[in-house]
Amino acid sequence: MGAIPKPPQGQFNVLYFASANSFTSKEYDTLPAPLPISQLFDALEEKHSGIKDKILSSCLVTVNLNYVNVPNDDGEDASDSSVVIQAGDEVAIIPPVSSG
Amino acid sequence: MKKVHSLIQYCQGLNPEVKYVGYDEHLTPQNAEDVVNAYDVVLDCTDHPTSRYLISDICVLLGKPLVSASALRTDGQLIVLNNPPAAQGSTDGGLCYRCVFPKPPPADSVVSCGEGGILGPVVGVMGVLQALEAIKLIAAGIGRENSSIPKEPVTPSLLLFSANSSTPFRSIRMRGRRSNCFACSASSTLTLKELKAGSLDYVQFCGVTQPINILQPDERISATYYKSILASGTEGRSLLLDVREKEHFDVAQIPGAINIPFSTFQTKSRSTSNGDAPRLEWLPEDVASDASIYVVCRVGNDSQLVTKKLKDMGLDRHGERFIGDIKGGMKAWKLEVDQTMPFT
Repeated sequence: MGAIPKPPQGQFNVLYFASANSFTSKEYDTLPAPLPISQLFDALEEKHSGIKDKILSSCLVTVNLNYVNVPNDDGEDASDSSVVIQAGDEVAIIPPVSSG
Repeated sequence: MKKVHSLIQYCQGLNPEVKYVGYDEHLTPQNAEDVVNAYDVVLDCTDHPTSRYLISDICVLLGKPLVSASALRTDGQLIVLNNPPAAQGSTDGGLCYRCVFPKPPPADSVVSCGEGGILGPVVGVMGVLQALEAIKLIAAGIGRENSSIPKEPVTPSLLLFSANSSTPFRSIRMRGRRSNCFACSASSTLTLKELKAGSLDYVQFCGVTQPINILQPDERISATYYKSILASGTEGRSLLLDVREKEHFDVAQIPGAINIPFSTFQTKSRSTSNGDAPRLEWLPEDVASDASIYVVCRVGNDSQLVTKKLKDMGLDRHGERFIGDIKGGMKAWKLEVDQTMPFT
């Protein structure tokens, strides 16, 4: 696979790892910025129906290789709810790999 | 021979100087304390979320650092947890597995290496890196009074390995313990006593997959019967949908089958909002609208869901067209029809 291209002006890349990669059959998507982190999962659900329950509910999310807490519907841990994804950012969806 | 004895034998061949202790039984909430207490550092090489959560919990409770590595298909993850170890609620301690993944993945999405496949070099890479982290902990004097392990947690990082990517290694900066972590935060109610008493059901927590049974008997055919349909050729052109993932399909498939992986079936079969017939990208155009559709998967669960979905979309034209699944999936096909077929 080739290198992931820089996102076009005003957009950001979302990278899919492990089972997120299998689910979407894609290495990455490009979405318009800015996007509040609280709206990320809905935006991805729109592109990939079912991804929220199957993947996103149990995955780890990073922005520019830094871990972020995505505020969930239960309202737990909203410490990062003010984070807004900016153009050029790199978001990663990292589901647990539990096999060994 | 049990796996544990086979492993010990192999390791003795590599290095006879080391003392190896085998445990013949599964790790359970009841025996975890006795097993783990005797050691200074734990390496998690297991293959299921249930054991990963249990091992993390016991390491938090006993104050043991944990080197956790995993691998599936072409991906791997490595992280050093509970390093430095500290009492529950102490912010000096390193994060635990539950801080990273508070919720287990849905049970039906958990794939073992046996089912999903794994590349030898991927396990090798992860195992070697895991061993290196363990050696670093031991060399720093973990478990000793005057160890050189910093009291403050160093910014922990999660290493991702993606064999296929142009950037095979990525290091994610993690944080300290999660303030509301079930196991290691101040609000945690997890204790050794509770664990031993069995008040945590790890199987329940990670979910159990129930065999699906949503179709009527007359909506299901046996593998043997499908074979006879194929052999007689009387049915004209029918359609066989194989809804396993592509990597399984590519290994072996029933002649003539079309692959629509279950994971992409939904997105490729959207119903239209204006009441028109649903647009099905995968449906060959030259198939008659009354041609039978058979659905097959690995063991006969997903095939029922897809069959139901196809009927819900009205593809059976009110019973004019037969839509049904092959009971028992490719497993049954191997058992009843073609023993030479690899089953993955």
